[in-house]
Formats: sequence, structure tokens, C-alpha cells
Amino acid sequence: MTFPRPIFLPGLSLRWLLVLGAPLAAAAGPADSAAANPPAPAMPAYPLQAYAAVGFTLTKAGHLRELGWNDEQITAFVEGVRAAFREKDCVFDDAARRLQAEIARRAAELETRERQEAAAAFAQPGRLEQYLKEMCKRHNLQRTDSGLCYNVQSGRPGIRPGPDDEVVVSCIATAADGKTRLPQLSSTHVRVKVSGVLPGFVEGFQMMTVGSQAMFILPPALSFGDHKWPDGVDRGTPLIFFVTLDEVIGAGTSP
Amino acid sequence: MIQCDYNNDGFMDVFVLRGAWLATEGAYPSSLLRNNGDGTFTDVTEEAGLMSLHPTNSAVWFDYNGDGWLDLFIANESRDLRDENRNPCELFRNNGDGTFTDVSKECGVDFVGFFKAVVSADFNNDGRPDLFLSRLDGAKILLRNDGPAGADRSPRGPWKFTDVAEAAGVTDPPASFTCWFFDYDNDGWPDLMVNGFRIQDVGDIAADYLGRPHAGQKAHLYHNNGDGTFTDVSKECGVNKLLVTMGGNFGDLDNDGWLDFYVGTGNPDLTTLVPNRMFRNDGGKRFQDVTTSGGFGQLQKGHGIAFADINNDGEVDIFSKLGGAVEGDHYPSQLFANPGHGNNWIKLKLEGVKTNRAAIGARIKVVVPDGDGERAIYRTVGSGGSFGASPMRQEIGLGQARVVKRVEIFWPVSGLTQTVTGLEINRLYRIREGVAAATPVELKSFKWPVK
Repeated sequence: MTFPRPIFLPGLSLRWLLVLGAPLAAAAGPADSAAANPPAPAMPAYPLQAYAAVGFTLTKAGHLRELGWNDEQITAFVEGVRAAFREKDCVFDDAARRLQAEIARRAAELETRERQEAAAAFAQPGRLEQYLKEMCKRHNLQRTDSGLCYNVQSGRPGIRPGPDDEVVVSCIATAADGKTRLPQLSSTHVRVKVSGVLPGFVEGFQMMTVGSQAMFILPPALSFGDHKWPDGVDRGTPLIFFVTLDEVIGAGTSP
Repeated sequence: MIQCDYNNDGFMDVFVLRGAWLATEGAYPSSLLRNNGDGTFTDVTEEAGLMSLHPTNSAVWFDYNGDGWLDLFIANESRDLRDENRNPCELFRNNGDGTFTDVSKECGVDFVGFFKAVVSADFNNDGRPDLFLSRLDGAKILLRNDGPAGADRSPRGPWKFTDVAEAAGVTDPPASFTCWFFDYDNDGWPDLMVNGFRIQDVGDIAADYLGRPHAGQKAHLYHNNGDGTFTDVSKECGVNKLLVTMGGNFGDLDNDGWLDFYVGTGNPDLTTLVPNRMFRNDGGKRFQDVTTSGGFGQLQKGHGIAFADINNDGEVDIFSKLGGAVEGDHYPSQLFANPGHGNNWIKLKLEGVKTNRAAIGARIKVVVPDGDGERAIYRTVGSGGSFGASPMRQEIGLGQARVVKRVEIFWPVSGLTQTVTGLEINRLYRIREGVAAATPVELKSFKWPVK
């Protein structure tokens, strides 16, 4: 069974276009690229409506509308896409770099605004519960009596950590939107005592066997609660973690 | 294997399900065995139009279109969703002439998924039997029977089923197996039990016994709120446990009028040999784990369970199919003889006239004195859980009640609510739809052990 990670896909955001687009623009021209990489086999043909739908979805989901371009600018953008398909050159000049920087700035603003709005929304009655229900359904998660949402994928049978054990874990954290990475809460092969971590992890780590992976959503009460929240992490929001249990070090109190 | 009287001839026929777990190797035909009424059976699968080559271990007989003939829903297993491996669920309409027509597509119930169970009950008490489907690979399906779907409102016309699982609040656990409808609190509304079936290894079960966190999928008991929704009462009723259930069924173990349940647990291999579990219903409020005190904790792989008074002494016995899929876990089936608990009982064998003759789906309300007032005990005719089949004869505990004030029977096809009075305790009665007088039947009983 593969672990579901749809929310870690790059997404269809402005930032994604920039991240992928910039290195390509800085790299060799299209003719060189074509020479280095033989053309991929042609895809089967789909109805033209399907191509239009993909373009529409990319544009809408990627918030390209937020850039406020006029028809002429949109046409030029599409021409650039067309040129790339036809292996024609399109110079990435200073103006293009400035446009890219402007898009980046707007993307950052947009993402910050969206995140702040989403964070503020969690203060509304029922919003947290609604979010957790939706996420459980979307990612096939279960909930414990404490409210921890989890999906543990089996590792090797056997060893489970107890509260007094130490464990070595790796985890990737994101904000509630599932897209905004939280490096300050992420770690690789870090050694911790089970009873000394966030309350949601105290419960969650004990569910895991060595080698297993888990997706956890920690409601605020099971993460930082009323304590000080780390910089850059929106207070009072649920947090998403992908955890791998690398090792159990300790008394081996597990059943 | 599940019984019915598909041709309304008064003899119970058998439908045998095959191929479960075998995925692409599981294209075995299920079999309809017609009871010839002389101690023999005839395989009529093909002539009945039920030749179905899909892996399955669960089906349910129910009269979805209210024509008095039992229809058949088969929950098939699709372990992956590639076109060549899809095994859609099937709904066969009984044509009333010994044959069936596959109406799965026209009724929109040809679901594809890793389905492990289907059960039926009229959860909203609208007179039409509904369905609940349990699967290992996702959200459950609660199909509300909304009646005729088109201009043709005859029983042969298209029928409308609507999945209301999410609105009703019965979507968990994600990986589920055995399930059943039963009115555990005797409020007249069928409640729903859905058993989880996923663990990492046996350590999850040990953790559950020890009250420690684990990632196994627990059982869920849903209380019917009587308004189309359910409330998960697993925790307050003491059944939010990791049971790893394949087979299971319910019955009144101690004749106190409250339905208890027994589950066959474990995995097909030898890595999960865990005790089967018995839960006693404590007055409709919560369930007590009486596995150890009752001697029910058999370790071998549990499969189908049936509750039945085998020796006709009034106490419900339990038959449990044991043994796994590996050679090292071959084990004989087990019959638990009930020593008795001193309570009274009544047995009812219903016979439909407009309703199907086996009376599947008929609802019973037994009213007995209770202090200065009265107490109602509810049952629905059927074979019970999704894996294991109990008799259609209803074996109803009355507690310490010494008289039966009345029995009310709701016949779903005629819509008749029939009231029968003058019944004595500790007797079996045959009751025919629309016939006021119940017929007492003498029971021949014997003592355990049989010599």
C-alpha cells in the first residue's frame, strides 16, 4: 500500500510556476534542450475540450487571475507557451525577470493572506471540527478519543514505543492548508523521548512500529495549545505531520 | 452461506457464496440450492439466472420492491479497480417464477470496491428495506430505499436507492468487515454495528487490551436516532474495541430481552490468533465483555457465527465456524451449549402471505408487564449478521416476565400491523400473516450432552 500524499504534490500555484519556470528559463535554450532530450513519444489524442479544461484548471487553481493581466498580456503569455511547444526561442530578458519577481512577490502575498485568513477562520465555532472531518474523509484518517487524526501505514511487525522509550523519527510538517511547509517543525532522524513531545505525538508515536509511516493531524489542543507557538506557525491552527518511525531506543515496554 | 425461501414454497433454500479473498482467482460461481421439501436440494443457480462469477462472502435476501418475493443483493470484492478486475455488486430482482433479473445497473447499485458485507433493515421505518454495505477500502454505503425511480412504478420498474451514509453519520471505520442491524436498546429503531478489520500486527490488539494507543480499526456501534441519522455510541456502550472481526452475530444469550453479540476474530494466517469475543447487553445501556466468564475465548480463527436454540430447551446456543486458511489452523467448528439463565422466553415462527413466506423483514414487538408499566422487546425477522446466519425463527427472551400481554407484527408488504394476544410464555407459536390466532407448536427438546 502506498502512502497517500496528495497534499504534498507541488500544487498548481503561482509559486509552482515560478519554481519550475525559473531554472528552465535560466538554462539552455529550447533548441539545446531538444538536442539533449529526444522528444517523448506522442501522447494519445484527447478531445480538444480536455486540453482547454486543463488550461482552465491550471489557470484557476494557480490563481493566475490574481495577476490582473489584460487580454494582450494573456495572449502574450499563451504565445510563450506556444513558442515552447514549437521549439521557438523566447528571450528571458530583464523585463521578464522583473515580471517574474513581481509574480513572486504577489504569490507570497497571496499565500500569506490566504494562510492568515484560513488561520483566522479556525477561531470560528465549528470550523475546526468541520476541517478535521473533511480531512479525515479526504485522507482516510481515523480519530482517537483525544481528537488526534491519524493514518498509520504498517512498518515491520513488532516493536512499538512506550511512553518511556526514546525514538528516532523523521517528520515533515505543513500548515493546515497542506501546502505551506513548516521547516521549523520538520526534522530528520531526530531522537526524542516519547513522553516529551507534543501531546498528539505522545499518542501517535505509540501507534507506530519501526519503519512505519503515519499522517497525523494535530488539533491545536494536541500541539502547542495555550503555550507559545513557534514563529511562522499560525497560532490555534491544526498542524499536519508526516512521520516515519526510524528506531525505538529504550526499555522495550511495548506489547 | 445464507438461507431464504426464494420461491415461497415454505421450504428454506440456501445460497452459497464463494471466492472471497481470492481476487482474480476468485471467479467461482455462487450457488442457489433449492429445497425440494423431501430432504434433498437441487442446484438451480443457472436456471434461476444467478450464475455469478465474482469473489464474495456476503449477500442478503430482502424484498426491495415489496412484491412479496425475496430479491438478492451480493456484495462482491474488487481488490483493485483495474477494469479487468472489477467485480461490481449485484442486485437480482426475483421475478416470482423461479428466475431472477440482474437490475444492478438500472438501480445504480453496481458499486465497485472491496466489499465484505451487506445487511438489510428498514432503518428509517418507512416500510421499505434499506441496505448497508461494509468495505475494506473506504467509506461505507447506506442505501436508503426510495421506491420506484421512474414512471413505471410497478415492482419491475427501476428502483431508486440513495447513499445517505455520510448524512446519516455511518461512514467509519475505513476498513470494515462484519456488520449487522439490531435493535440493541429496544427502542423500535434498528441500530447498526460495524466491525473494523485492520491491524498492523497482533501488537495492536495487545495494546488495545492494555488501553494503550494503537492504529487498529475498532468496532463502531451506531445508535439510530429515529430521524434518519445515527450517533456513534461505541465508547459509552463499551464496544470501541479492536475486535478484528470476520464473522459475527447476535442473539439473546440470557433471555433477558436484550440482544447480545459474539464475534469470530483474527486473520486467516497464524499471526493473529486472538480470542473470539462475547459481549452481553446490559439493559441496552452498554455491553459487558463476558468472553472469559462465559468460556467463549476460542483462539482459532473465527468465521461465521449463528445463534440458535439447537436443542429446543428455550436457551439460545451458539454455533461458531473455526479455523483459518492455512493448514496449521484447521480446527473443528464449535457448538456452545447454553446452560440456561432462568429467564422466560417465547419463540415465534412467522409465515408471510402477501409478505414473503419466510417473513424476512417482518417486525415484531413483544409487550410484557414491567413493574407497573410494560416493556417492549423488538425483533426483525432475518438471519442476522453478514457472516453467519441464524434461523428465521425468532427466539425472544422475556426476562422475568410471566405473561405476554400482546405481540404486534408489522408485515411490510401488506402494511398490516397484526396484534396477537393470549400467548403463553416458554412456547413456540406459528403466526400467519393476517390470521388472528397463533398456532402453538410442540417442541421436542433434548439435554446436552447428546448420548
